[in-house]
Formats: sequence, structure tokens, C-alpha cells
Amino acid sequence: MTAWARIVSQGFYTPSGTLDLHAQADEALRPSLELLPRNLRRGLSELTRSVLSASAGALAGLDSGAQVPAVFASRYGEIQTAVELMRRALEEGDSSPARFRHSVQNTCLGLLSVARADRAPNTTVTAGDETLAMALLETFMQLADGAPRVLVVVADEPVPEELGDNPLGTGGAAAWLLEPTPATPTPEGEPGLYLSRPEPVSSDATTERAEPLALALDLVGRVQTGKHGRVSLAVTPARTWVASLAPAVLPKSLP
Amino acid sequence: MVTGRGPHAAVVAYGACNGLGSDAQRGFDALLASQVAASPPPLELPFETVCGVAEGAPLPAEWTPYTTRLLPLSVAALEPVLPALQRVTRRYGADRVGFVFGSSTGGLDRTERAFAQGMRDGRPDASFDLDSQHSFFAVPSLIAARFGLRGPCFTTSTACSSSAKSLASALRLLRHGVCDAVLVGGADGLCETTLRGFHGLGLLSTRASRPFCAQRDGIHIGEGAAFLLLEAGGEGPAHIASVGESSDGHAMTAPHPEGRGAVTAIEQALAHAGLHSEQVDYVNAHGTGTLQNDVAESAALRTALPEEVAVSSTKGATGHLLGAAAITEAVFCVQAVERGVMPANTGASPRDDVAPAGLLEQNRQAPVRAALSTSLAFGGSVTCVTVVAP
Repeated sequence: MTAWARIVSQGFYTPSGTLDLHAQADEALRPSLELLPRNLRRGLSELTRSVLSASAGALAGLDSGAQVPAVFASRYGEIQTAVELMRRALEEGDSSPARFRHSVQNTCLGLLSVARADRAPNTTVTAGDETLAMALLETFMQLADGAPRVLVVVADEPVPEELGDNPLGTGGAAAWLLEPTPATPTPEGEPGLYLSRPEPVSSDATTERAEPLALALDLVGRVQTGKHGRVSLAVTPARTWVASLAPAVLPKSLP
Repeated sequence: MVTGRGPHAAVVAYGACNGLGSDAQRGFDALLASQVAASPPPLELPFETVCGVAEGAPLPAEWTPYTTRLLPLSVAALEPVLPALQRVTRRYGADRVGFVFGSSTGGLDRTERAFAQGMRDGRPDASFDLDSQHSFFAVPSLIAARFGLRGPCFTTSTACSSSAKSLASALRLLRHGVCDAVLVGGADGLCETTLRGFHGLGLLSTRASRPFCAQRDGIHIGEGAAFLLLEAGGEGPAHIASVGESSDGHAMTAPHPEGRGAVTAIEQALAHAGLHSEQVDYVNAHGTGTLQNDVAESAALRTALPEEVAVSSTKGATGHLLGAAAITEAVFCVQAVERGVMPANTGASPRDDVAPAGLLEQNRQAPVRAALSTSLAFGGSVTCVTVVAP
């Protein structure tokens, strides 16, 4: 499998407008909902709004009729909507049809496909600490299957306080439009991502857990600044997943 | 018989647990005997409905803190797969065995209890943990850790097509040489949020659902789990030849009226499996028992397949298993191939005018060389799994 992909474009959203999940802003940045017509903008969760805003950046410049297979990665998905449905059941004894329609993990991609009349397939990936790594693995496999492009979005929203600690800060989203690398070398500086096999963690290494969304925002920053080299995609007690960010060159196979 | 892209993905073991039975053979026998899993819900609800209530297996002691409704069902469904799982792990190495899992609600029943307790006590439930209970990844992470699976492991969650997406990803892992074997599973347990939600949409029946029946009045929800172990180039009763995937791009909770996403998914599935539509012997339809699905899916089947192809929905018997539906119905297709019998569409009579011409009102004994299983989900996510004889 060719383990290179070209990063055509990217986008991100956090309420602070920075790449820091825990940065607070006096006034939260409004997410861009330009990808949805007005009639689809009602009852959207923070998560879906973040995804749409980041995706607007990643899809900028793409022909509006282009079909875009998509992969959505999230650690806890539409958790605020789930809690709101529970709250309504407890307090009012019924359910909200509008919220229930938007309660599945693929809500954001479903809305995007309806808005764009996009018939391309989409999927979601959840894998705990390895959520970003598995989303990129799935994406690379779809590109290897012949997909002309894949939109990959990583997002999470703050965990409601009724359920305990919130490790996700303000929440947000990061999105990339990836294409297969061309057969001939591309100009210096055009970013490419190379996915490596997982590496064992050495016994003396300190493994500091990192949220997949935080790692995704870090990758956005690296692409923005052209800081090539190893990129952490997941750190677990047993293994790490890394990618290499580099100028896109001739395709290589996963060793 | 086996054609298509890459090494064939043999089903070397399978298991299932749902309201028809705690093991796959008892469940399929019950299906063929026209039994219906439709019991009073195990929850207090302010409306009338029935559910496909399943009985799982006891949990290993160390899993007790993580208990949710879908975990005992997963244990029961996984048990018959374990010997083959150990064999492939030994043969290929643990890092060459992947695991992809599908679920639509995960441990939501546990989250509901934690939320209610939090509201009551004014502080979060200290015994509740997002990662090991709520998350869609909770069950696969427990299974992977316990059985030493070290290949790529993740959950796909796309409502009713969740575990078909798991199969699609599993085929990719095999096709691209990332894994030599992949455990594919799916599970969903009954919970208030789901039952209240479908009731709020006006889709819930007060009795067992009757897909393609003129007297249908909606879906009934079930719970269950199922697993398939796929091995590249292996030997087993059937192969998963392809998974066709598409989107309707039409509406969030209603299928395209002519089922255009399903047509594309079916055609893609056949093309990737190297099959002509005339070679399909049986279709396990999504068939939820709603008018919208029956109209859309019947139209899609008429467009993509010969008019007289044998069709049945098994959701009238199991209930709609949500994230576990696609993998459970893939198991039914494997069993249809293995045993040479196609199950009837429970509750089909009197059939609706829109019903497929080949709708089975009785079981049919005949060789099944190729079977399709369709799923049409919220968000317009549509899949078609192709199961073929070796």
C-alpha cells in the first residue's frame, strides 16, 4: 500500500482561533457554516459546527460538484446531543426528534453529503488514544483503493460536566483534504504525509497521553509552518504511531 | 466462485447473539422456525412497544466494572470465534490480526444511568468512565487487550450501517496487506435514548415489525452482537467478497425515494465481487418495516437486480439491531450459504404492493452461491455486503 498522501488543503476550528485546545478567548470565534444551506443549519451541535467550519477550510478551492469520500474521527462523538436527549427525557418525559436525527456519530458527514448532494461514501473512526492514527490509516487505504481524494476530519466537543472530567478543553476540529501523491516528484515544499507502521514504546520512555484532537491541531500547525519531520499520531503504553511530514516525493510502500 | 479484488476474505469462524438465541446456530434455527423476538422492553417507557431482548453470557470477573448491555452479548457472540482467533494470532503474529467493530450507541445505557445519578446527587457518578463504558471503542479495546490482538483496532459508527462499514474497513486491511486476519464485530444494546428517539420520530411499532407487509406499522428495536473472523486466503463456509458503499445525499433520516444510494452500493458490490446481478441467489434486505424504507429499497432492488431474486428481511424476527444489524445479517447470509436455505421474511403476509416480487413468505431450500445484505442508514449512509460460497 502506498503510504504517502498529498495534503491539498486544510482547515481547523477552535473557539479561541488558536491551535491550543485549552486556550480561552473572551469571545468565542463563530464557526463557519457556509457549507450548509440555511434550512440545514438548525439544531446543530458544537461538534457538527466545528466539523463544518474546519471542513470549509479543507474544501476551499474544490469544485462544488466534486465527490468527496470522507472519514470523520472523534473520541466521544455527539456526546452533548446524547446528554441533551437524556436531560429532556428526565425533565420533560419525551424526546426531541430534531436532536435525535442529529445524534448519530455520522451526523456531520451526513449533513455535508446532503448539502453538497455528494454521493461519495463516508465513514467514522473511533479508537481512543489512537483515533487520529486509525483515521489516517483508513484514509490511506481508501486512497490506495483509488479514491481521487478523501476529506479527513478529527473533532471533539467538551464533555458535559454531568459525566465527569472534560479532557477536551474547548473542543474543536481539524480537517485535511488528501490526494494520492503523483507519480512524479512534486515541487519542493508541497506537503506530503507518510504513514509509518506503529513503533514499540521503549521501556524508559515517558509516555504522556495526548488527545487525538490535540495531536491533529499540532499537525495543522506543522503544515502551516512547513515544519517537516516526525509527527506524533498516537501515544499509548504499548506503541506509538507516527507520520512524517515532508515535501511530497515519489510514492513509497509501507515497509 | 470467488472473484474480485485481492485475496479472498474467508469467514473462518462466526458467532451471534440476539433475541433469537445466544448462539448463531440456535438463532438461525429459530429464524427458520419463524420465531420472533418481541418482548416487553426491559426499561420503563411512557409508550407501548416491543423489543428483541437478548440474553448474553457471564462476563469475565475483571470486566465486571465495565458492564453495559452490549458487553455480555459481545461475550456470547465472540465465544465460538475464540479458537480460530487464537489460531490466527499464533500463525501470523498478534500485530497482523486487526479488529474492526461497529456500534451505533455503544454503552449508552450505562451513560444514561450515570447521567440520572449525576442529576439526582448533584455530582458525577464516580464509577462511570467514558473510555471503558460510554465510548464506542470500549468493547473492542477490552477484547483486544484480553485476547492480545495488536493489529489496527477501531470502531466505525454510522448508525444502521455501522458494522457494514466495519466489514469494508476489514477488507481494506486485508486487501492492502496491513493484516492477515481481521476480527469484525458489532453490537448494540437497548437503551432509553434510542427507544424514545425512534418513538419521537413516529417510526416505532407497538408490535414486531412486518417488513414489506401491507399492514406494517414501523420498526421494533432489538439488541445483539455478532462477529466474523476473516482470514486472507483461509478456508471457511463462505467468503466476504466485497462491500459496496455509497451515500444518498438526500436527507438525514429518510432514504432517497428511489433508493439511488442503494442502487450504487449494490452495483459497486457486484462489480468488486466480479459478479453479474443474475448470479445473486438471495438478498437480506435492510427491511425495517417502515413505509419509506420499503418503497425506497424495493425500488432499488428492482433497478439493480433481476425482479424475481429471492429477498427477505430478518428484522421482523430479531428487531432492528442498529449498529449490530449489518454484521448479524451478514452472519445470516453466511449461514444461508453454508446450509443452503434462505430464511423467510417474517410477518410479510399480506404483502404490500411495493414489496419485491421475489419476497420469500416461506423459507426456501436451494444452494446459495451469492448473497447480498443491504443497509440504509441515518445520514444517507448505504452499504451492500456480498457473501459468496467458497
